[in-house]
Amino acid sequence: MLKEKRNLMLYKQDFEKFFRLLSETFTIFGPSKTDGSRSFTKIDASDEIAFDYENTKMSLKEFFFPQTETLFFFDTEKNEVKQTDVETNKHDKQNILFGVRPCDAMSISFLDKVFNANNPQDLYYTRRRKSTRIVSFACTNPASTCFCTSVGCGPDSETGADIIFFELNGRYFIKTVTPEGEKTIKSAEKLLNPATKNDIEEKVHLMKTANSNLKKIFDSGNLQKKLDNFNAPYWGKLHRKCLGCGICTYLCPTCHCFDITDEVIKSNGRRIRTWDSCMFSLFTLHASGHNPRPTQKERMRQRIMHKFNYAPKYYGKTFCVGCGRCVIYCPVNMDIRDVMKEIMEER
Amino acid sequence: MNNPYVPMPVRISDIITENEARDIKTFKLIFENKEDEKKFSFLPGQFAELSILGFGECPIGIASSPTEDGFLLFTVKRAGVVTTRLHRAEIGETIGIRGPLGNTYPIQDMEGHNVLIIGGGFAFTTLRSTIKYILEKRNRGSFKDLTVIYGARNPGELIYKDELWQWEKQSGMKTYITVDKGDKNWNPLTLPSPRCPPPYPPPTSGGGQRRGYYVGEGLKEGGRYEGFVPTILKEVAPSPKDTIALICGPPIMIKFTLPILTNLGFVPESIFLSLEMRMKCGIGKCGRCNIGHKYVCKDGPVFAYAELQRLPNEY
Ligand SMILES: Cc1cc2nc3c(=O)[nH]c(=O)nc-3n(C[C@H](O)[C@H](O)[C@H](O)COP(=O)(O)OP(=O)(O)OC[C@H]3O[C@@H](n4cnc5c(N)ncnc54)[C@H](O)[C@@H]3O)c2cc1C
Ligand code: SF4
Ligand code: SF4
Ligand code: FES
Repeated sequence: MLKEKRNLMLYKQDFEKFFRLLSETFTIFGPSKTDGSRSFTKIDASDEIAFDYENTKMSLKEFFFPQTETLFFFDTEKNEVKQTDVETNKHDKQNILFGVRPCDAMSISFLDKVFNANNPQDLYYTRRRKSTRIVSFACTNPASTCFCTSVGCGPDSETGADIIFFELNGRYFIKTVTPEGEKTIKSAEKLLNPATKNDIEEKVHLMKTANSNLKKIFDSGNLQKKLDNFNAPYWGKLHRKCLGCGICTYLCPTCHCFDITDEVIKSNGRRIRTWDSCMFSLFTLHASGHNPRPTQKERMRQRIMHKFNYAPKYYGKTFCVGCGRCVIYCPVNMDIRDVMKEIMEER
Repeated sequence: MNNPYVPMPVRISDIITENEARDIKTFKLIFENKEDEKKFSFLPGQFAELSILGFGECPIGIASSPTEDGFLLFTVKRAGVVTTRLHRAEIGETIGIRGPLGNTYPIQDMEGHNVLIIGGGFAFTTLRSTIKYILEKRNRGSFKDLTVIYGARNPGELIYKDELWQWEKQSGMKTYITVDKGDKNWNPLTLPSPRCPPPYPPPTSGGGQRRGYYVGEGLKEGGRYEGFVPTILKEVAPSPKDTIALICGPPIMIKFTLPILTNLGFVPESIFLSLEMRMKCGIGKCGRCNIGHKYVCKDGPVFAYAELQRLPNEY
């Protein structure tokens, strides 16, 4: 960790230069205006960045853990594994993910626990993670669906970020969080000045307003204990309108379930992994026909329990960052905040 | 660096059809690369992902014991895509293997104690590994009495038959074999064993379930039975004192076996079960196989009953 985090200032009129200096060593990805900030795409010029977006539709996870990924290629005639994707793809250039929301940055720190930890390490994820710096952008204008402060995250959370930006009047307040963050801005050092007391005060005030716009709806610590009651009566009704479409899990930045399948055309094949969802009926179906989670009731319970009870026990973290994607995009308006309230109210 | 998703090549050096329904086969596998073999160090209870390029992978318990050198055994029931393809494999074919995966039976805790092994159907695989491991000369002294209770639907469905007949005769262990329903072959005259007296039906009054014949005097010496595993267990179980029980079998067998062990005085800490959940990665990442906050592929498949009681009943 960084001994001393630095607070630096960058004038907005210098941002273009700043961007160009960084793009000499890094490929930069961000929410782009052209793509309607659907996901993080490659940014070639500083004015392509959509600074005013609330959050990308797709979460940041697809950058490190894409929806479909080749584990390796094979030849069925020769019956042999060809070189794996990891070994053939050389990633010389380093990446910057620019303008990440603090909730998404935090979600990556959770995925690190799953994929990056040495138990064993997932090389596909790790390779991308190692070559990528995360520059977050504090939220000054949270959406109505955001509830990060209820789950231990917040509009200025630094977890998972290498650098965090705050947008002040006419300038950016830049805080370096990790040693990698320090290295990232080295080439643009001459554009940066140390923050003054006034700058810091302005930033604190800004975040106070942002925080006050976010109501704390529940306490995720209490929630874990409440959920220890696996057979609570609310499980009998919470799932009723759920279609089992899986959108909530696909868009969720912390959901990491996947399937592994083989694809073959003639003798050329590849083993791929693809996102999967605990909300699907086939997810746990045994070959014998037995299914430990036979109805949507058990699947809904699994999704909620994994995030708010199992993950805290297993990884020490609540696997929800309050990004609100599942709230916005669920076709039947399942609102996880209501689900939480219902659970908290049950005695 | 090791990529945990890439299988190592192994050659099928033998295939044994285990049952009369011909849907359970044992595959003997030999590593193509010596380095892979050296790295594959395991203990009874662990499993591996068997891979066939173009078809996929499936998790299968390791049926051989680490004391059996130079090969691995896997006993596979034909169920779906991958297992059906495996059943069509021929001797000499190369397939893939990833592992060893998961935890093991509590071998260290079992040392110095009696071991009771309870198996049902084709799930006997990792228990066979355990039995072989215990019976190995250099290991046998580390364990006290070994009792094996194994059941299948009918005599034709018993797997590892040759070994079962051998274990029946072997000193230093008690082997009880039972079938739900016997047939005319489930008869000591056609499956002779030198220590067998002529068959006689046990009294059918009272319990009534038991038939078959017993080896030697009374129930305590092992033998062949007709009846469900839990019923036989009730009759022949050794004292819970100083005994660790391992169970692997179909859910229905497990369900009825646990209360019997408990009634006999086995504490939940001394009962270990091997569980099954649908799996993909086998390394705790794909999120598929959890029971509560435990991943069966990584924190299991072996769980102490005491631990299982603290987890949701969802398996
Ligand atoms: C720890 C463990 C040990 C096992 N040991 C044995 C054994 O020794 N012998 C044996 O015959 N079977 C064993 N099984 C069950 C075996 O894994 C399934 O029968 C097998 O995966 C079915 O694969 P399939 O492709 O033929 O079926 P399909 O229905 O086509 O399944 C597709 C995929 O789903 C997964 N899957 C489906 N059913 C299961 C299941 N019951 N358990 C795990 N994954 C599943 C597999 O990845 C499989 O490739 C074991 C399962 C586990 C979890
Ligand atoms: S998005 Fe809504 S309907 Fe679809 S699986 Fe999730 S909760 Fe159910
Ligand atoms: S559960 Fe919903 S709000 Fe929480 S991180 Fe996932 S998508 Fe965002
Ligand atoms: S099989 Fe993937 S987490 Fe257990």
